[in-house]
Amino acid sequence: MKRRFALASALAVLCSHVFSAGVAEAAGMTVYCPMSEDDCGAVLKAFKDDTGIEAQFVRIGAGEILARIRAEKANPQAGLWLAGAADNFIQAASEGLLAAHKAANIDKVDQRYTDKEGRWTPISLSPIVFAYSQQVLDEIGAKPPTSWKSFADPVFKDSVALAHPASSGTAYVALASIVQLLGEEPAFELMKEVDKNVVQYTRSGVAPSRMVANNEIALAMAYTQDIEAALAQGYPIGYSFPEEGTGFEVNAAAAVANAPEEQAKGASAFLDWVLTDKGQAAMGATFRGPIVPGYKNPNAKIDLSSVKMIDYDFTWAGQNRARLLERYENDVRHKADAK
Amino acid sequence: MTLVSQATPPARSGTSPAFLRKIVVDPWLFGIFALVTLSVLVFAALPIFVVMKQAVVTDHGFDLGVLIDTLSQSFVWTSFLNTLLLGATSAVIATAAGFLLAFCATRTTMPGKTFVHGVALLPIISPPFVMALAVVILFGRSGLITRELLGIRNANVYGFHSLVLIQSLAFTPIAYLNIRGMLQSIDTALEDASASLGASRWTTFSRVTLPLVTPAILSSTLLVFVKSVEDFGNPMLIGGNYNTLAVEAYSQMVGYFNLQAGALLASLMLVPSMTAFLIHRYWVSKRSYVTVTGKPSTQTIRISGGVVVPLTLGCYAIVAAILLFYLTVVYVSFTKLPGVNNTLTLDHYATVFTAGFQTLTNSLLLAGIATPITAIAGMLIAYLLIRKAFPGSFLLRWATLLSFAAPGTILGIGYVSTFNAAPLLLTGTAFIVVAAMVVKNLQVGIEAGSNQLRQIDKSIEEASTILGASNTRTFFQVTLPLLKPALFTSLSYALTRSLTTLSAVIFLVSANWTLITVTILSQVETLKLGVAAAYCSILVFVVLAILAVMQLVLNSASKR
Repeated sequence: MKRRFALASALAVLCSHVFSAGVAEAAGMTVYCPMSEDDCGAVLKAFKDDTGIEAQFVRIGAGEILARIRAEKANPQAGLWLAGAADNFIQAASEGLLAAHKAANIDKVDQRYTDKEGRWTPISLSPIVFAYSQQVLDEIGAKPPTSWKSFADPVFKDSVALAHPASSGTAYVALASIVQLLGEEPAFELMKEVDKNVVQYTRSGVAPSRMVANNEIALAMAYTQDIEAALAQGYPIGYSFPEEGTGFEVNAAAAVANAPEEQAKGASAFLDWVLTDKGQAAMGATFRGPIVPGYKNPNAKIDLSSVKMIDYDFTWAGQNRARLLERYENDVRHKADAK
Repeated sequence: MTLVSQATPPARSGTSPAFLRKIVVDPWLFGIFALVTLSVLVFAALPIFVVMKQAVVTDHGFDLGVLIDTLSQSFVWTSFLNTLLLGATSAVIATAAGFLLAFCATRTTMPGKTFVHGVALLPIISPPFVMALAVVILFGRSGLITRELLGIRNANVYGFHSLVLIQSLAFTPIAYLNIRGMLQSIDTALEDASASLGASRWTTFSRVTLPLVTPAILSSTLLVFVKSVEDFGNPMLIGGNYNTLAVEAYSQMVGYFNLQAGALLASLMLVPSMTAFLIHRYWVSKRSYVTVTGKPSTQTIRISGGVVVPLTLGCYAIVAAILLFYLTVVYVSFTKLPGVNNTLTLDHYATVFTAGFQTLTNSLLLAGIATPITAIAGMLIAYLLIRKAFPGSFLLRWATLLSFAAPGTILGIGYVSTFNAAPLLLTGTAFIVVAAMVVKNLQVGIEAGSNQLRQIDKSIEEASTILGASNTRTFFQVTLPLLKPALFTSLSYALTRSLTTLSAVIFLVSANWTLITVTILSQVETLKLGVAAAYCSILVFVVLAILAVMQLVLNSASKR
């Protein structure tokens, strides 16, 4: 009996510790962040070193962050949503989930990349790059891709992986870029051809470049920062840019609407800070391109300044997202299933 | 089986003397029942209904437009059929493999039983994405087996065949544990009697043993089927063009921002699971499987001789396949850049040890709390459902099943939506993570407990009550000890699943309570396969150690 009592009281102590800790330690700002753990931690550490504001992050995917902020609407748990494709932020803003804040240095940013009402703040810019595996190219006797159309070449049968544009910002930017370059009808004709080469549609935008890194497939599309990260680890990934010009993603951050006051303050401070030189340097250290022109990461292997970029109409891409995705799903994906 | 009448109680008002009597005779047990039912309704059914409601109720009120729109699209039905086919295939294979392992481990003289037992349990400890990654590393285009060994240059690992392989392996332990528990508790006097009456081994097996374990076989098939329907990570990672409902529901919700269609597809996932459960219940409740009668028996029969050889080889093949997968993960954790630069290195472990073990400690602590709750609650619910047909049992039965069959994403989003405001403000606490772990794994304990209870003669418990013990005391001192094998099943299942769960908790983790699976996912997504594999290896090792200790404690507890 004595033993049982000891066991029970030990359990009770343990439980009280566990269930109170979550509440007691809630000081500081909570951040939802879809970048890698290292990147989230590094950016927030730079922020703290500079401003003294403590922040802790939860790392989950951008789509999951949106779902979670939506579900927490009545009682927001996080103050700041750090990073992710602007499409997600446009959607969240339209649902009234974000708090407007005009960042102090927003005037330095190209007006095309900003939200008029300041509900989200652009923080960096990521071009799309083609990743290829030289080993697989040699095996199938193909050349590195030079154009968006290279992906449709029959030589790459079962050698291409794409992220699904509905779940991955990378894949959607690529789709929208092709549509803007070629026009909608030719673009979807091209995607139907590409689909024949696709061996797997992945959820995450990084996954296809990982498959290239492991010589699983020949070709993928990725953001430059993903390729930089792989190169930094020593993976022998080849990369090239489309001669027609490439599209890019605007990364954003935003304050969550109705967050607790202290968190809201911290979020506003972050949005001001991220567009300063130090903030842009911290974002640049994750190999994302600067949104305020000027900063250059000395460790970067891919030279972003010489990349030919299309005049990517970012608002159009956001507004037409639902329609393009539906068409993609019906014309490209499910037609493929049916055959 | 009193439960059959229970589905249509004559009068729900409580005026029925039979129902009243049940409550009056047993006020304590009824109190527990009421408490358990209420908790299950709040933590299992409510969050799911909150999400489901969104499928038909919009800001403009009740709306069936989206319902009709979504259901009229052909991809919905393609993925529905895909889901059924995959579920059925995996369920049959996993149950067959589980049965073979369980039978050999309990009824034959197969050498190396302890080893086989340990390895057979391994796949429940499958951190998300790991099995799929191992398949790619082994059988992919630059796979160790396909390319290095066989020289195949264009192996396509993506699709139905890989899914069946992964799911069958991953879910074999559910079937193995379930069937093994039952085989152990069958009174072997029946088999002895059959043998001594001159029946051949085959006759004994097919006419005595097999029919007696039918409930476990059926419930294993059911559990694996439901798990397969619910599985999201594997189809997403390695399904190729083979889309399942879980994947479509996820991409509708998270990708297309279409909560309605997502909730609808998720509801559709519940249809096959619930149907399977209904069939199973109808089948099992018609028969009696009582063999544990309180009369003394010792196991004497051990099948030996020639017939053991093919059985043993079958078991060893399964064991080899499982080991191959896990050793691949261990191997990857020691290679510099898996598949590219296979130099051996300790770098990944250095990274892990520098980063510290906060997330692992969190996972262990929370799973450690969730596990006993899950197991005891599972046995208790099984007891309440099988032995005591209190009015309202059907609520308990269906609510637990619902939470098991519902995809993790739905449960996670439902939890955040439901428990984010007073009076149930739980977001950000560890409690919400623990609750999700318990709810998601409860059903396995209930199934294992129910199967075992169906074998235990009621008269044992009756003897206890006649001698003056209360029903509550009878449960804890007579029934629970008899349920030991089932208890071990649900303890080990709950522990490992709680430690490796991802899809539901990803919506629940907070900055203070991040779990190891979230860390692993993050490493996988940033190409750090070696680090991810190192975390997985450590996780597997820790779980194995705990399971071993748990087995020892349970064994010594029963000897006392």
